[in-house]
Formats: sequence, structure tokens, C-alpha cells
Amino acid sequence: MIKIENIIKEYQDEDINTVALNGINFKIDDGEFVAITGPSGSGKSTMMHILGLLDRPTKGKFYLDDRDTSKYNDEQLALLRNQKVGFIFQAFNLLKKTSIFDNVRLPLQYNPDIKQGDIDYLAGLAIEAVGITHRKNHLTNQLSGGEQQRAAIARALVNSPSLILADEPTGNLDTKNSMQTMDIFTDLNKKGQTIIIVTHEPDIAAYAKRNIQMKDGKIIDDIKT
Amino acid sequence: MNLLNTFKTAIGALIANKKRAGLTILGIIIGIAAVIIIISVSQGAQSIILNQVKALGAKTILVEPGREPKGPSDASEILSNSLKLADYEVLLQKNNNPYIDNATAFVMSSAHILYQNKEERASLAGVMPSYQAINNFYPVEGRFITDDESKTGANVIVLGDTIKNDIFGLSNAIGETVRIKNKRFRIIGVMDRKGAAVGGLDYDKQVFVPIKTAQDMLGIKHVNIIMLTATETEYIQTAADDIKRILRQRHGIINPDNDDFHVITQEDIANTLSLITSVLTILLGSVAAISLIVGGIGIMNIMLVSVAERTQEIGLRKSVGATNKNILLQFLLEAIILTLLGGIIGIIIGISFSAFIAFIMNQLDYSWDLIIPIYSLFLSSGVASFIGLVFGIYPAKAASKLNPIDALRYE
Repeated sequence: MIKIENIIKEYQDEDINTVALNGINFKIDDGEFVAITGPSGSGKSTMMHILGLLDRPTKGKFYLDDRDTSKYNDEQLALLRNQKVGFIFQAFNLLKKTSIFDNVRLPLQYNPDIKQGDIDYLAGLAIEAVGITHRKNHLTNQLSGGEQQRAAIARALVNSPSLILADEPTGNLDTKNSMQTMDIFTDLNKKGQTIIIVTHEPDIAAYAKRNIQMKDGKIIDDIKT
Repeated sequence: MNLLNTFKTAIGALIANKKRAGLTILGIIIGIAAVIIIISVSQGAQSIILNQVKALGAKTILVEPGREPKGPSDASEILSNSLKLADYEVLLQKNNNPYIDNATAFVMSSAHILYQNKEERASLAGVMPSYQAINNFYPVEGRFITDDESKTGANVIVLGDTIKNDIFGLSNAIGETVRIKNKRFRIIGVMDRKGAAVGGLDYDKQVFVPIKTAQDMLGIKHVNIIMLTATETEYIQTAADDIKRILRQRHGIINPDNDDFHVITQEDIANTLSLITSVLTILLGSVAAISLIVGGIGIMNIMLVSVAERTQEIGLRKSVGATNKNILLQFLLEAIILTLLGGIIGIIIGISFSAFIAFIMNQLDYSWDLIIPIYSLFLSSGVASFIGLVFGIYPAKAASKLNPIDALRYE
């Protein structure tokens, strides 16, 4: 469960103060499928980074599974990112010159609760779940965009996180691959996985069951379908 | 992430950037190889000198005329005529000097040797029979100068190996006659090969005549060197002290500052020469050490480039749960693996090259020992690891402190 309380994010750049988020409040329950939408500059990506524990808010509180993350230090945040959050990027962000298998193994290797002997098995399961087992030993650059995004989803799933965050997951994909990717998210959500995606495409947002619309660092609408 | 995985990751990253890694360790390889080679070569050079000093005999004591030279340009010893044959005779007497086993005196000059239409320049030594035993230097053909000949001043001559070969080649020289300053000398012997000595004297470019003959030719009454051997190595200092006491008494010297002679033991020579080579070793070693530091800076530079190039990777690793410590360790391990690899290759090259030099020097007939002190291996690899750590820590720290989102966004 996620609770956001009066989040403010400001950037200081050469004496010019930019407010990216200006008092955000919302709650997301376990098992929800949420799309955060809005024009560029609305603050949706910043919101995503804070939800993914990649960035800290200037003010306000972010509770993840009832934990007040503002009290966590860098090391504790790294552990939370590893075990609680699966992040999917627009540009996939797979390691270059590295096999898909090794890419998916990465979060497991940083997880202190996973036994060394279980890593390969769990990585294999995640790769199977997104249907690219036949591409397991291929290098990143040998895969199509759609396959790369599936590998990235497998990497996000591999530690069984309580939250999957996807930042413009279809931004670099064609329509067919976009639809396949969104179908994977829908399936995962049906199994109870909490998913939050950020997108500016209305037909992608339509896959979600709840749409939080942002503009100028504020939430202007919150619609459940 | 455990250490094994971090190690694998670091190795993987290095393999993915082979060229860059190779160029980086080149600096370390050269530095380490240079340190080992320089230390080994100077130890080898020292061994040549020490072997020659040993060949002279550790029990040898030299007495030269004039006070001890105060510097390289102090010519007092050459000009002095204070040592006489009578001094030699007194020093040899057992009741005066119980720790002296043997002694010889000789005169040194240079001469043009004429044979038919050939002319050869040589060092001329006026000697007595005891010269042979003290210098461990004997004729291979014919015989040496006898006691009788050295006292009466006979016109006989013994040729050094090089002089004999230059004048006569392979043909027989014994019984032939050569001329020096219009005096005729009958060749009675040819010396064995001995090679160059400490201080540049080439034993094989000498000719030997009786000491009286040499003194008469040069118109002098004094001798240039008295060479003595002690009965045992441990009595060298006592024997040297006895020599000084006897000579001061004979020359009427009360204040040692007024000595008109000086005594040199083989130990003094060995110490002086060792000091010179040690200073050279330190000097050249420092130069090599600087090249190691330069190599280290190269590693730091490459690691910094590597961190910048892989900022996105660092961001990604952090976003999937890598801690600052994980990133620090990964980059530090990369630096350490690079330096260790460079260290191992450098040691192998250094040892091979040192062995090659020793082989060549031995082929050239120098008694060069291949010495690779263990400390030089530890020193160079220790310095290399230290450099890897020191110069690797800064880029690794820089990498670990990156904010994950800034790193991910980095273009």
C-alpha cells in the first residue's frame, strides 16, 4: 500500500527555483493498476522517481507498505528498491554486451535474502513469465525493442516486488509491441500485482483501472474506471 | 551482492573493455618491469665488481705513495716517490709484521713495444716473482721473471695475452726479441688471460719486465705500489695497522696527518664500489618508481573515464538495489584487478629481461650474477597494489556517490 502526503519537490538550478511537485496527496491500495498521465512538465516523471525511491522529495511523506521512507538512509533505500520495487524504463536500460539471463539475474544478486543457488532458477522463471526463454542467452543488442522491454519486465518481476513502476513503458515501442507489453501488465495485475505506469498516451492509460491526471505539479483529476 | 559476484562483474566489465584495460595496465607493466630490471642490473653490476675484488683476493692490502687522495683530482699519490724497495723488504720481515704472508712491489709505466715493423702500446710493469702469487696471475707459456733477474735488471720480458696476440697472432713468441726505447728484450713468457680489473686496468694489455730494469729505464729509485697479503682475512686490519706503524717509523713521521703513503684494503675498495652502485640503484630505482606513479595516475584517469562512460549503468544498478558499497567495491575491484594483472605481467617481463641481460653479459665473459632480490618483487607489486587502491578509490567513490536518478538520466 502506498500513501503520499503533501509531497513537494523543488529543484535549485543556478538560483532559479523550479517546483516540480506542489503538494501531492494520494493513496494506492494493493492490487491497483494506476496510470499517471499529464503533459510533459506536469511532474509525472518526478512523481514516478519518488515512488521508485530513486529520488527524495523536498518535503512531505511517502509511506510504502506502512514504512515512512523519509526516515531511511541510502543503504536502506537501496534494499527497499531491491525488494519492494520493480522499475521499468522507457529506454529499457538493460546492461549492454550482457546476456538477457545476466540482466535478469542482477536484482537477485543484490538481494541479500536470496540464496546463491536460487538465483538462476528464479531468473529462469521470470524470463519464462514474459515468454522470452528462447532468447535467454542472447545479448541485449541482439533483441528487438519488444523483446528488450519484456526482458526489462522480467528483471522488474524477479524479486517479487510489491510494486511495479513503469515510466513510459511503450514510448520506444510500435503499436503491436505496445499492446503485448500492456497485456503482460494486465495479466500481472489480474494475479494481484500492484502496477503504476506513467504515460502521456490515452490509449495506454486506458489499460489501467485508475487514472491520476497531473498538471503543473498538482493532481487535477483522479478517476477510477 | 557477494564478493564472488562482484569479482565476476568486475572481470566482465574489464573483458567488455579489453583495449582500454590493456592500455591502462601497460603503464603499470612498464613501471614494475623497470623497477625489477633496474634493481637486478645494478645488483649484477655490483656482482661483477665484487667478483673482481674477490679475484684480487680478499686478504690483499695495497700501499701507495702519497697521503690518501682527498678527491678525484688530487694527484699527490702519483707524484710522490716516498716508497722504496727497502720499505718493501722491511714490511716483508716476519718479526716486524707477523700477519703478513707475502708481499710484492712494482713499478708502473707505459711503453711502446717494437717488433719488426709492428708497434704496440702497452702498460709496462716492473715486477718481481712474488707478483704472480699475490695477483693469482701466471704465465701459460714459458716462464715468469726470476728473483735473480729482478735484482740484476735483466733485459727479459713477459707479454700479456692481448699484446702477444696483437704482435704475434698464433705464432710462437718465446725466444723472440722486442725493443722498448732502443733496448732489446728477450721474450721469456706469455701470461694467461685475466681480463679487466677494477679501475680500468686491463691485465692482458700489460708487459712485464724485472723491477730493476724498469726503474733504470725510468730513471727512478722508488716503487709505485707495494702489495701485501695477510695471513688470514680477520687479521687484515691488524696487518694494515702494523704496516702504517712500520712505515711511519721508517719515514720519521709522528703525526699521521703527515703520512707520505696510504694503505688500502680490499674491504675499502669493495665498500667504496658497493656504495657507488647502491647510490646508482637508489637513483635509478626512484626514476622507475616515478614511472609506477605515472602508471597509477593512468589507472585513475581510465577509471574516471570508465565511471563517466558507465554512469547510466551505475544508475541502473542502483535502481535495482545496488548499494553505494556494492558500486564502490565493484569499481575498486576493477582497479585492483588491473594493477594486479599489470603487476604479474610486469614481474614476468622484468625477470625475463634481467635473465636475458645476465645471459648476454656472461656471453661477453663478464662474471655477471643473475640476482633478482625477492624484495624487488614485493616492492614493485606492493607499490602497484597500493597505487591501484589509492588511484582506484577516488573514481570508485565518485561512482558510488552518484544519485541514482541523476545517473540514469546522464547522457
